[in-house]
Amino acid sequence: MPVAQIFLNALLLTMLYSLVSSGLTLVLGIARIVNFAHGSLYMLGAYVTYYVFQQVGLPFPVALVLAILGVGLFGVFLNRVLFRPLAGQFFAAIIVCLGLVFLVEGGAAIIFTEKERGMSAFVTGTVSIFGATLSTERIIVIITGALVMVGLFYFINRTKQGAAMRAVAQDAEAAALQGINFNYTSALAMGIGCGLAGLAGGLLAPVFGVVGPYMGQSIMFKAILVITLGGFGSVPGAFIAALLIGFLESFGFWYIGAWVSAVLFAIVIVILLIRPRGILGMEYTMRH
Amino acid sequence: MVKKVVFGLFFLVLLALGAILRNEPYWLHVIIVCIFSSMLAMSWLLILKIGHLSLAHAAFMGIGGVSSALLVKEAGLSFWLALPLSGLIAATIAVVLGFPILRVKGIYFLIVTFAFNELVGIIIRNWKFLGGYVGLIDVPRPNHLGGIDFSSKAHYYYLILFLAVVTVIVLYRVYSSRIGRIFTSIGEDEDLAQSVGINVLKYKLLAFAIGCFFAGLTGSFVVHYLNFSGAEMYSTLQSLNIQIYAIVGGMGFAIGGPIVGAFFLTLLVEFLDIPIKAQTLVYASILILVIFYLRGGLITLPQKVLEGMTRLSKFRTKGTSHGTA
Repeated sequence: MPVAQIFLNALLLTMLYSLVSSGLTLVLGIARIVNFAHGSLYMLGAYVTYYVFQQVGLPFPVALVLAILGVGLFGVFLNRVLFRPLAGQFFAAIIVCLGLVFLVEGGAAIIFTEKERGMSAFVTGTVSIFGATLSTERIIVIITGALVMVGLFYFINRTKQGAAMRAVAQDAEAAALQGINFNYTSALAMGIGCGLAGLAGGLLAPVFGVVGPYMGQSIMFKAILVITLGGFGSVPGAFIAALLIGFLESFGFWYIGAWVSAVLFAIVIVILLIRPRGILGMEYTMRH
Repeated sequence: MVKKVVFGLFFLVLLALGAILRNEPYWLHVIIVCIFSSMLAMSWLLILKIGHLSLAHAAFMGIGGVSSALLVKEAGLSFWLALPLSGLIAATIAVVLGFPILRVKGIYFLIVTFAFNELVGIIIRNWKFLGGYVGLIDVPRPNHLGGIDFSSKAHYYYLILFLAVVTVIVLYRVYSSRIGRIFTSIGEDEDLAQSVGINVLKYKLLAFAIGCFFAGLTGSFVVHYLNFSGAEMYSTLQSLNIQIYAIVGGMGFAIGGPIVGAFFLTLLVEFLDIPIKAQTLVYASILILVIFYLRGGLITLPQKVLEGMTRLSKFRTKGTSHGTA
């Protein structure tokens, strides 16, 4: 069993899942909506990166920044137009999110065509660590992901805006009484959350090598598992859950292949029955 | 009474259409799709009535479809036996799954059904026996029944019409019975229902089972109609489609709403000749418009228009009386 490869893969998945899920859980904490279209935002980030880096030829970091900004701003737009008017209405909000998936994926399928695009790596070569040959690109992606997560933790726990977000997620009314601007904070959370999805899409597109309009679907499945396990609204919980699921999936895939998804699913069901709030999450209520 | 007349007329129209269009397989196909889409939307709405949004309906259709295909192809059963059996298999799995997950709140139920639908897709795609990536081909047509050998679309048309009528009658009887009232009360306020002594879990399981039974039944029909069973037919996106039919049609009318939605959306893309790729976009746009501007669904459109006109006429009358004074 190529332990190093599987281990690296596990780390890669961890980064992917924690980036996407942190964004999802941030949005969930503030807007109280499980944005099923989050996977589609991941897909958009991948496409932006594909076009800017592969087609236009700008350097990869530039493409990433554009992906983050583009998807983040799109998220803010979605929040303003769709989520805020539906605050507090569970069914309506969920249905709109589901409809959004169709909209974004359908739009992408038309604009970019359904043909899957091949994406080349942004850096080639391998390094040798402890005798194992590992792709440089994957290592860079893992390190970048880790740095972003650290930055995110720092932002949420040590800055004023981060504290504002945590406050709003906990009790929006009380937060407003403290002078926190709800609209600004929710727009910021939405922007960051969606930007993270875009970043993940951009980072992982060259690694997976393929970009297609429906690539967000399997990500959505995993992201939902991760935030359920980690707990709604909790970014550290999302990270821990991403770690668990990333390693489970990577090592599990080696032994039982695609059936590992069945195992993950079973785990989620068990979690929901024993402790629905997940590892570090809060009780889910529609109102703050 | 009015409702029954309307439904009766609608059924007669469909019956007549079957005769009129008997040599137009294309249009027969379109209406067949309308009809079984209505069945799926109706049965999904039943689950929503008890307060649970299920994202797994296409998966249950798949469970019925795959079961039926295998029962006939591998076990040699007659389609007429496989049809109800598929429904029962879907219902059984629904009960097994529902037993743990119907206890939790709506959002968690949603997540689990979403995951379940994905999971069923993954299982089907990775298990050759269930079809694998290619799917099950050469699924046999329904067996002879008298002179009907299902060589023409018209035969399928009457079959699905018959199944749809059965579905409508069953759902109608359920909704107007005591059980139906219990379903509604659970949907409106679960805790209150529980406090009055209703065994909430039992009735939720019943509704879930009935809903998934008809999903499985429809799946069986579809698979023998298309002579094919593939994982794409049972995807989460298909579950979304089913929801869109019911919501756009109108969630307030348990049987009429889904029918209106399914027929309207299916016929819309047909008449406007919207390419398949744009279909999802169109459906989603209409869905979002309905949620924001016509929450009750298309079926409330006549009522809304009437209200609008009444308001307008009142406005004018006021002006006149003012003048005569």
